[in-house]
Amino acid sequence: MKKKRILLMVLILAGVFAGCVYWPVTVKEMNFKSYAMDTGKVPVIYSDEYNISFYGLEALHPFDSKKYGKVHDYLIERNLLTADQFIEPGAPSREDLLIVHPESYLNALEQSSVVAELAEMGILSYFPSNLTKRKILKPMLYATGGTILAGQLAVRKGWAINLGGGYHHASAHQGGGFCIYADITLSIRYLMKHNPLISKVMIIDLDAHQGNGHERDFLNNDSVFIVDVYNKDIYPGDLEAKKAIDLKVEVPSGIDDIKYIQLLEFHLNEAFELFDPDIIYYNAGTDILEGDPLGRMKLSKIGILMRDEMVFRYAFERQIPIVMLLSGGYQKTNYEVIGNSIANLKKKFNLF
Amino acid sequence: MDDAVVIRPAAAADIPVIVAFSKAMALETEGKTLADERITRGVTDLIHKPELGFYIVAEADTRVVAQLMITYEWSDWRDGVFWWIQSVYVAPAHRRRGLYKRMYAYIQDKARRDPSVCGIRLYVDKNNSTAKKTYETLGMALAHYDLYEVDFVLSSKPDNY
Repeated sequence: MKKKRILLMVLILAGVFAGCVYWPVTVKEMNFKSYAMDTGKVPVIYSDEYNISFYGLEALHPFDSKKYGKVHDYLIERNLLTADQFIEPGAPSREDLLIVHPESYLNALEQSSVVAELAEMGILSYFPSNLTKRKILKPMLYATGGTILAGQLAVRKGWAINLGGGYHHASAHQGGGFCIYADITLSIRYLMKHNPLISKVMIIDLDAHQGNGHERDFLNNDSVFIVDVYNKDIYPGDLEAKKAIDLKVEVPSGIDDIKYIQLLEFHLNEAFELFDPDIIYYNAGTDILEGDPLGRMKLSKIGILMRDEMVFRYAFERQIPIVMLLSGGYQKTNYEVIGNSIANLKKKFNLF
Repeated sequence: MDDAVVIRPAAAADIPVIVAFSKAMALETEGKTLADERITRGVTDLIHKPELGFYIVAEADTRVVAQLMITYEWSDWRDGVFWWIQSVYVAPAHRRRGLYKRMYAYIQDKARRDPSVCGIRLYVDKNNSTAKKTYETLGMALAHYDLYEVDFVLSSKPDNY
């Protein structure tokens, strides 16, 4: 009897201990772990692996490929979070990726020329594939793991922010525009497969570019309602994918805070009248910021804070879990805007 | 927002405070009590009908402390739109801190950048010399028009407000 009690105590203690030190986790484990968030962790997901460096060559790219780490450091500098409060994702396995991507697509990524094209860094095609794998694919794989994890955490905690991901130009069969893995589709499919409570999803894509990746993946799919607000004058202008958008808001280059916020309010209102989702995927690209050479819109830093706050407010007022992804927006100061926006969300909604 | 005071467009979440401020303003400046239902509808409609105009607000430490409304008037002479400044209110505890000046600067900046805007107009109570002085200091000039109106809704009867 006494032995049994001791054994029980040991098991309980082991359980508590396991609950405290479960990070990082692989995607496989995510399905079975119980995420006891009372360990002081908050559902802000990040791994040092997200950041892309290629022997300095990344400087040739118009993107700040290390913005993820900068947001992470900024949140710590501002005393919003401590380093051990972030949640670290693992990388999805090939089996996980096969939920969405066909073998042929994953095999094609073995060629550095394919990766070079999708990442829009032509010079990469001159490098051996094991290098592009380690330097480009691996960071994107971890960020994809982050988005999958974010979906699962949001269901439990009401919200989750992945400090990366949002590869909204990648679909099951095709990448492009710096997007290789269809993290949004993967995360949604994963959640729908493993969580019976999730059957209706709303994607709110507010990156400056049309989210043609997830749109192609959810064409003719009534379970996924897509709101996409994007600059009609820029990449990708994917007509086929546009058919999947349930609420399409095409805005002109140069749109500013006032017009954008009014349009967003109007259309979010409409979206939630038309569809009542079980979870929201919010693709929060910051390339709508004034000065972005690709987005060509003119939102101010305050405008971005307002936008994020408005989307979270719509989610929280309706008690719908929300996943936020950073997506595009790679100017040198974007990390500050993102950090300030997370600070604003924390303050307004007592997030953590 | 996060900085000390930020000027930003209003959103639906700001409707209650704009209603409260509008009522406080009517009482303070003209001694009139606005009916809750009508002013709430009036504010809500503007927020949801971008074609009519917009509000901006000043926010300090997550609280809205001032507001300003813009509505549009077409000018065929200028082939453009005048922005009319109306419903300006600064909460008493936040006055004399230059908030109106900042809201005006925000509006002026946005208006000047928008090629469809031909100017900014406002009207002011004839006896409000403080406000008149502020507007002149900020670079606005007295127009040579007098304002006439027929008000179908708010007549001089107090119970109509």
